[in-house]
Amino acid sequence: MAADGHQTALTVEQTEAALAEARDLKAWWGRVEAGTAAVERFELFSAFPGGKPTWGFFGEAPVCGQTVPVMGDVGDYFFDRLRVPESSQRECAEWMTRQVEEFALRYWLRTQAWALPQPYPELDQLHPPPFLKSFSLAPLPDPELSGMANAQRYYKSRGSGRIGQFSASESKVIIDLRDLETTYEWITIDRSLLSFDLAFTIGGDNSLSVAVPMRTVMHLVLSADLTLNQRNPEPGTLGVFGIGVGLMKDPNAGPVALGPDKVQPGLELHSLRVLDSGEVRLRTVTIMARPHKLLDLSLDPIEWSLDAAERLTMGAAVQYTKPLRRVLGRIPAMGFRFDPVFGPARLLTRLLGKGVSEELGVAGEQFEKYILSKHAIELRQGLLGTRQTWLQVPDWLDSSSVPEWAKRGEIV
Amino acid sequence: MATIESLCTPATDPLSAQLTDDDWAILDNVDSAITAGRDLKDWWASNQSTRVKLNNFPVARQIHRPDQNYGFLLNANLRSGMLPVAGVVQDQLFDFPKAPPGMTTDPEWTRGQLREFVLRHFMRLTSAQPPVKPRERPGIPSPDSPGGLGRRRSQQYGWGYEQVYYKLERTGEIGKFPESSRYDLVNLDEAGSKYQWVVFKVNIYHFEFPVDLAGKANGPKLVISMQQPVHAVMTPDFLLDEEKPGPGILGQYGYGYSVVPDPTYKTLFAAGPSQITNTIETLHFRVLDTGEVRAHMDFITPQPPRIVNFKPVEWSFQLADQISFGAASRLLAPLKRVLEGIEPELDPIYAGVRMADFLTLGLAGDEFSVTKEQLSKTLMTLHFTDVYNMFNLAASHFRMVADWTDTANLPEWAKRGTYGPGCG
Repeated sequence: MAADGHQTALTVEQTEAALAEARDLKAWWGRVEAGTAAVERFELFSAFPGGKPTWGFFGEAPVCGQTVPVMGDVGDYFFDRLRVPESSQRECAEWMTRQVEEFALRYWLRTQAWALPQPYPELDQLHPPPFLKSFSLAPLPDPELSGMANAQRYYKSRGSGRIGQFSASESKVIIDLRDLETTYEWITIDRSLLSFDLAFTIGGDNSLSVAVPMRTVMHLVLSADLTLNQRNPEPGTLGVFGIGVGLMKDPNAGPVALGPDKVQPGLELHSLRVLDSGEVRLRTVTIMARPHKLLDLSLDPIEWSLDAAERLTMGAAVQYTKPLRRVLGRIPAMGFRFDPVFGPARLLTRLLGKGVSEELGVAGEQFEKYILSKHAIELRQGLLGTRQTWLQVPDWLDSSSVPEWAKRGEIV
Repeated sequence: MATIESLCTPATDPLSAQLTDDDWAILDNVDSAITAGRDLKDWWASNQSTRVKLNNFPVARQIHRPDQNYGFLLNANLRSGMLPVAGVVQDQLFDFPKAPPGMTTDPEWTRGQLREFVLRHFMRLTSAQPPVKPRERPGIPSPDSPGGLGRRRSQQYGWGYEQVYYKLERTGEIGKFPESSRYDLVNLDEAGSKYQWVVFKVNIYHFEFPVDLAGKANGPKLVISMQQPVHAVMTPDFLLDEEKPGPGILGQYGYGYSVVPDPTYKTLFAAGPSQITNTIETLHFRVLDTGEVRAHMDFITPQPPRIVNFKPVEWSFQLADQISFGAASRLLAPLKRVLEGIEPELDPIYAGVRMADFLTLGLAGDEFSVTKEQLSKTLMTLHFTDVYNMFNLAASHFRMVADWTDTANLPEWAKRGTYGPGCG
């Protein structure tokens, strides 16, 4: 059990396997960018002001000796620019490169969650009992959070190879990523997606919607060779700095087979690129294995009952249901599971042909494109949200001008 | 011979687009909105540093950006009489010059940039398109296809301005901007020289009232969207274009307007922006001598006498008309008139607040903040949040362009704006 109560059952083997897979994906992506490996590209969104279209792709990547069908999305967005007269631009661009390097490698992971402006709470007021909280009009005492909250969990030391766990007090002070070259072989991070809601809307302009937070936690592994830390990588670019992470599948199974926490092998590269004009651009590249299933439902009523018992007792019944599951698992027919989305979609595609399925919008590829679109939007919003923090610090190299919360990785 | 009605109707500009009855319903409210706006503006000028400062309350907690904001609930003594008003004032960072320490920055250059941006571009760049999928590509179903996976056009972000009506300074003629120039907004400094007034329509997106279902942050929410178009008239006295207005300020620019109610817009929300009168808003920007740019908003509106338009008779007849293909209203017109005459003037929200307070012997108000005052504060917070997000959106557009005064090299989106058909 980790310090903040989040249950993790990841093993060192899974972590190192995810790392090896991410390294292979990064190498393959380098070949795609160099034009020596091919992908099928398609546009996900038209360009935003100051940006380029966001595009997705399907491809096949060699991962740990196997060919894995993969998909992904690539975004390139405006992040910041120097606003100085042209005569000062060159001098300032060099300074901007050092600023971006420091922000991206030391502070970015600590500041990816933020508190939105909140209705000012009533001071010195008693809080209603929990069952009456919904009826209160008083502003909530805790602030609403947005973005992605990162907590570092485990590490492997360079040299000694010792596996350790970061203490609770260290968990939010994510290491300077340059320490991965000297101190750590890898570290793992749990990323909570704070704005990942499921929303249901009825009505038009004056609509009603219910937003249910999904409370998804992604598991990431970071190492020096995934990290982006390069000066003058190409003409016109002064530096590229950022985060490279391998994605680990949450070992806890559930009825949803596809989600940010269910991807492996996978790789995410988030970088800030400083151009010689002083413009800073955010680039995101995500590569993930193409999903086999969207949902993973059992046809077994006994399993439904066990699931229900575990959920109703908030996990307390697991000690009783686990042995039962083990016994039932030995019965062949009991393990049958199905996917009510991808299964019929594949069947229809086979029956009607790819063209007709696409016209009807039920081809498997279209579900995948939808997933990529959703992912690209969430990632764009999450990472561009960090601009507010980036902009408000006049000099990231001057530790005294960096706010304490940004140093500590504490949101509030 | 001219009829009395034609003599009372203002002359229309021959170049105007066709004015309909709905247009006149709004235009009939413009003069009173201008008068009310001037009245409130004068009241604001003489009270903002005195009574308002002494009676304010904090509106929003900004944890990571220590900007300034406050609200107020006061009785304003206007020329037209006493009016209970609510308001919100916010002042936030808009842009900060990132430059090496010790390097001489040029705040005057920033001032020139800001003036050009605010007077010529700002109102076109307060909105953003949500991610838009490429249209009509082979193999992609149309937005309305059953398997379209939610490909309907999503709501915009921010505020979308359109220019709708004008009154020419030279001739006093009234007109309606043609459809082709609806989004090609006039430069604000033209407002005084060419126009006596301009009516803008502002589409405020994501004006949402969240209800926390679990009573905790980041929990499930019911979100009531109150998106409504607002008509607002800008007169030259709301235009701000000043150099060195005070110590430490190199320049300040901006605009403001008085809200014109739209009687043709039917909505459930009586406190919604399309229904209100006696409301002004000013949006100002200033460059400090450090090069920092700050955005400022003042908003003053009546404390809402009701939140919801409760019209059970009208709603019942609408339902009956749907079932009877419109026969109910025709056949039962006398009954409808009688029922509307005795319909109670009741706002279910305020009635609920009073009822809750009564039934709990005051506990609902004292402990759970279930009060009319809290509702007004909540509406002010919603307005704050909406303006906060809109300012941030516009600030990101401001920063994307290297030089706003280099008009020949502006990107196409900056020239056309980010709102309107084909923009974004």
